[in-house]
Amino acid sequence: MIELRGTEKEINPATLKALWTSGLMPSLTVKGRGLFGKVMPSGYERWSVWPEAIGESEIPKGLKFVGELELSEVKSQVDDLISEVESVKSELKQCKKGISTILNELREKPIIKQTELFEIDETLEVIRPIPVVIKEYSDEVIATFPEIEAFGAGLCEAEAIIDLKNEIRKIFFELERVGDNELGKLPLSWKRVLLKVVKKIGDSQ
Amino acid sequence: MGILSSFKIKKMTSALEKKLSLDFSGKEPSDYYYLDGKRVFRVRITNVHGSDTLSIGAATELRNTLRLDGEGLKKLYNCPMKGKDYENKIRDKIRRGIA
Repeated sequence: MIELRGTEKEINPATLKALWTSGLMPSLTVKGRGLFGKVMPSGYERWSVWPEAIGESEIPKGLKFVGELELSEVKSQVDDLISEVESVKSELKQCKKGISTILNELREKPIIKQTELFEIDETLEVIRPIPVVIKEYSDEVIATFPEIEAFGAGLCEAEAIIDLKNEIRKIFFELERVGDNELGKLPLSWKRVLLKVVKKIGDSQ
Repeated sequence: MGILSSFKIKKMTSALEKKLSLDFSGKEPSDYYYLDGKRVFRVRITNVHGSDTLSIGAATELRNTLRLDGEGLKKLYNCPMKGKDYENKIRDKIRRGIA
């Protein structure tokens, strides 16, 4: 019988395993828990080994200490894995946040294209094609005549252009009705621009 | 969400009417901002979706019209920027020839 009482902290698991597999230490109990269905003799409540021959095939089942060792290794690997998963989750969270930010920025950044207006309505004749900038947002379209800061809005390009034409007409008549002395620098400039691109052919209602 | 996608139309309309002395009584609210008795900007608020929130495009145009950045529009929308603060800002831009 080999007693290892009180030396558990110094036991090298590899040594124990070697003793075991060579048959020098045929049975083992750890921390009061019996192995191989044997009743532990009194006085061996701590680390102890007593002579109960076992077959080598029983070792994996009975080798509690080795089992605990493997469990601790597995636990350590699981802990590492959990740590890695947490790290990946954290990175994923950052990615989601980044994607969300990019999507929001994209929503605010329209696709821009240009076109020209050749017709307004029965009250205004287009003298020169009116340059229009179309801004396509994810859920609306804005058509602008930047030089006079007019814009039309709609769910599609056609709606936005119709709205812009209405705005151009409104602005033309709003500015036409007031004297230049009532207009600031910009509205005065808009009026001049409008007079260059459209001609009044009817009255606004 | 970005700054421009969070403005309530009613609150924005009210803020502009109070602070810039605008009158948005029409169906499609638009009015001129006056300084020293002269028209300076034509301010328009559109609502193509029938939503209670200003769309990004409309908010962007409003921001451009008012010569503000997103933060400036937010300050005008909320309390920090008073009508007088805005007026001083625009007077400065007019002095610099950019408004």
